[in-house]
This record gives sequence, C-alpha cells and structure tokens, in this order.
Amino acid sequence: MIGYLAVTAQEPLGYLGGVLVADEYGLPVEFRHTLPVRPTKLQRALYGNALDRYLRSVVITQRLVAGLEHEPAVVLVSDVTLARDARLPLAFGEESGVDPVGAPGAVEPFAGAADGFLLQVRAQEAPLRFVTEAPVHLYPEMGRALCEAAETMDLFEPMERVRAGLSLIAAGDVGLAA
Amino acid sequence: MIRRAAARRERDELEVVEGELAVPVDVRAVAPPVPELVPEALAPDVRVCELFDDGDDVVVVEPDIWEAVDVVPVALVEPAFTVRAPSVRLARAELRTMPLIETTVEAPAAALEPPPVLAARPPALDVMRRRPTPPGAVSQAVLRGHLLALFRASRCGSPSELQLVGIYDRVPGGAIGSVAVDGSDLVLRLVAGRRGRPTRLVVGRVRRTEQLVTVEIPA
Repeated sequence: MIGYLAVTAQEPLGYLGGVLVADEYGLPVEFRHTLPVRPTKLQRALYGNALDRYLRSVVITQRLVAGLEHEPAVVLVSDVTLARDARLPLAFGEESGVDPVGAPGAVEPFAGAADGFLLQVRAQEAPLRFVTEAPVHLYPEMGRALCEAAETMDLFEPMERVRAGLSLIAAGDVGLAA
Repeated sequence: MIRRAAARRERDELEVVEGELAVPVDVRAVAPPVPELVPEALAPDVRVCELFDDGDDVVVVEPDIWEAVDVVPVALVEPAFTVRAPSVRLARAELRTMPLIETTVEAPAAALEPPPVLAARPPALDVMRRRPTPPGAVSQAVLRGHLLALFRASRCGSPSELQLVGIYDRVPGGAIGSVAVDGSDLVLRLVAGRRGRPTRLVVGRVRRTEQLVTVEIPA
C-alpha cells in the first residue's frame, strides 16, 4: 500500500488536507481529510511568512498521518515541503531526468539541500527522484514498496484523485462523514 | 753682698763636742695579760614545735608557678568594646500595596490547533485516469491478439465497424465499473469494494453507435 497526502488552500474556506491509502492497484483503502483550517488575522500576523509552511507541513500533515488506520510503507506528498519527518515515511516524488542508476528496484541515496534517493522503477528509463526526511535505512523498504506498486498502477495518479476529492469536500459536494 | 755674708758666717762658727748622755735603765720582762674568753652564740635559737599528723595520704599542692597573664588585647584593655554577632536572618518582606491602573490582559488563541480529521469517501477517489500505452510499446503479434479479443467482445459483424481507442496498462481489472474518454485520457469509474488484479485494458469504439467496448487482458 502507498499513501497519498495533499494539502490545498481553498478560498475562502481555508486549508484542507486529505490522505488516501491505496492498494497495489490504486484502489482506495482509506481516506481521511481535515476540516478546513482558517487562521485568524492575529495568527497570520504572528506566524508571518512561516504560517503557510507550518500549517501545511506540521498542523495538517502530521495530524493526518497520525490518524491513519493503515500504515503504508511510504506516503507520497503533494509538495516537497510536506516531506518531513513523521510517524510514517513521507516522500515527494518526481521524475528525475537523469541516467538510469541500475536494474529495476535499484536505490541510490543522495544528499544535499534535500535528502532522498533515486529509484530505478523500470529498466532503461530515467529513475524517479524521491525527497524525504526518512532515515536512510528505510530507503530500500520504501523503494521496494514503490517498485511493486509501479508494476500494477500508475504511481502518481492517485494524487490527482486526492486533490479532486478535496475540491469536492471544499465545495460541499460530499458529506463529511464516511 | 753674698761674699760678705759668707765670710761673716765662717767667723761665727763654733766647735761642737759629744756629751755623756748614757743613763742606766733597769729592764724587766713583763708577762702578757691572759685574755678572757667569752663564749658567743653562733646561731640563734631554733624554736621547734610539733605539728599535727596529716595521715598517710600526702596531698601535694602544686604551687601556681604561672604568673597571671593578661590576655586581653592591649588595644582593648582600656576602652570598653561591644561584642557584635552578625545575623543572616532575612527580614520578613514587607508588602506594600500600590494602586495601579487597572488593565485587562487577554490571550487570544495564537497557536494553530490541529484540525479534526474525518473519514470520507468522496466520489473522486473512485475515478481513475489513465493515459494510453504508446503503440510502439506493444508488438504486432500482441496487438493483433488484443484486437481480436476486442472484436469478439464488441459483437460487431465486421472489424471495420470497430475503432481502437487505446491500450491502457496497469488498470485494476475486475474493479472497473465504467469507462469514458476524456481527450487522450481514459477515465475509469471504479466499483467500491471490489478487489483488483493487474490488467491491461483494451478500449475500442463502435463506429456506428459511438459506444465504447473494453476488454480486460490479464497482465
């Protein structure tokens, strides 16, 4: 199972976050979302420029991950700023455009401004780049789960469904209860 | 003048004759007087008196041979001084009331509270989009087999009545409720609660009715 977590800012509703746990075929297993968070003017003044990042990456993301019943091997996030240390490994994935790093399943850690690893999903294709603050010893397990999922599903497609679901929730087109 | 005095003296000098002066004297030996011996006390009389007996135990009283020493500092002998003992006791704090301007302190919520989390199943979660597999990724033989399976599923009378829409990999076979075409993407509406399986989906369209036909090929 792979998790997908997105946080969107819906005006005038406020910040809304949701996390989807999908099985190896991308089918929904669990979905949770927050109620809209709308900071007050005082909070906007006190937090300043840090408000957006703090609200997204700490207040909402950590809360969502902490409340999951299922525990996916990795939770892919919609923004690189959300890929922080949490109860479950959080990672932001994207195409790297670099040369292959080995056979399918190969994991090559990198460090620098952001830590993470390159994952060779398919042979002769550019590896995927994952930015994460998870411990390095978890990289192989995360890579294995992502490779297995990529065999049977589009790895990044469920994120669009999470965003679409949050838009529906923000529009009030879906009941808040399960 | 001196010469005439000396000549006169020589004419006046007289002749001196030795006379008979011896007179017989009777000398007798006189016995010395006998001294009278008077005894004289050489030491005063000692008065001896008998004291009481102080018993067998003799108490020897040590004489105080130390002289009294004045240990008072010289500087303090004369003037009287006061002995002061430092005290570390803290005096009890004295509270004083001071009239202040009354003000009200408010603490509006500054911290961002974690929001409530709810479980939900918005319909968008069951709508999956897929892009077609590039034609070059499928061999001719495999493609021919897929088209044959599609033709059989379409129940069309002739292959010319059928148009291939696309081949889509990695779809959850067995959990697809319906499909629709949105531009180059295929939109799959999933059936909640069904278990998927790795599948390649071949989609065609009946030219006459514009109806979509699908075939699930196990991957």
